[in-house]
Amino acid sequence: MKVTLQQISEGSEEAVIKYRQMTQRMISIVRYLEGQGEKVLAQKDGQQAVIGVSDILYLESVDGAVYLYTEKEICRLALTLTMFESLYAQEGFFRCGKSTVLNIYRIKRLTGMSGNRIDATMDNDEHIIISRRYAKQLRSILKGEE
Amino acid sequence: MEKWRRFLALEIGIEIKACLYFAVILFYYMLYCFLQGSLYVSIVSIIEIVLTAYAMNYIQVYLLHNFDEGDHLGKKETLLSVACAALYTALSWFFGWYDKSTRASVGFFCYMLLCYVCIFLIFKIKRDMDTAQMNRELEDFKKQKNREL
Repeated sequence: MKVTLQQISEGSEEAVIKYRQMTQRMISIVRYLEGQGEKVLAQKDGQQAVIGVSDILYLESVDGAVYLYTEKEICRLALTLTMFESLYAQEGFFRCGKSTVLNIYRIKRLTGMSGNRIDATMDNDEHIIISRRYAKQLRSILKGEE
Repeated sequence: MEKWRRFLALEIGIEIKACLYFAVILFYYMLYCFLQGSLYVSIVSIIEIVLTAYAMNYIQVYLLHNFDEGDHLGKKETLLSVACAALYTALSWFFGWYDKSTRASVGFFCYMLLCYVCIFLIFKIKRDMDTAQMNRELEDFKKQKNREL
């Protein structure tokens, strides 16, 4: 992509993007320039809360309710895990268990375990164990095969 | 389906480790026979060794809560490794693989302990290499996103 930069002394700063097709890359660039990542509406203590998708470390389904975990908060989400996973797979969300979806970009470290399982240490130092079945898929994603 | 998969994974694990221990014990047994001046090994003893290896691995999985010497080597695992090596030695004594020789049996016990430690180390090295590779790929994956932005 050709990048043209122009320094101005007056007026407000502006970015003009010429595109042929609105690809995922384009969407990411627009979001970045707007200074706002994708956000979801969640519930915390009966109040509505707006959470940045990139702030979510992982989501867990407990007794039919889906909870999202950020470094500081735990909120309830109105979406199902499957729906969330399909909507935000491009943002690095990956199904790592029957009832868990995690954000690959918020994994601090991965540790190989016996039986081909993987221990994922998240940015908040929580550990999520990825079973052999899902570990294989994670390895493929990291290798760029999926 | 999930239960079947889990069962199959356990059975495959038992199969692999039973074969591994069979090879390990057979090596010691053949060495013993060779040192005794014989170039032949008893088929009956080989069958006993196979059955012992299978039985021990079933015990480890189903009675010792899936004790896997390749997983972790803490106090509990060390104790279980000693107990398993002792049980192997007791069975070798019972079947008379080493002609009830105390020296050969003590050697076998030490040899089995060493095998447990070696298996732990081999799996640990493999896991460490796997961990390093995965973390390299994770970093590349994250960098890829930054590059796209």
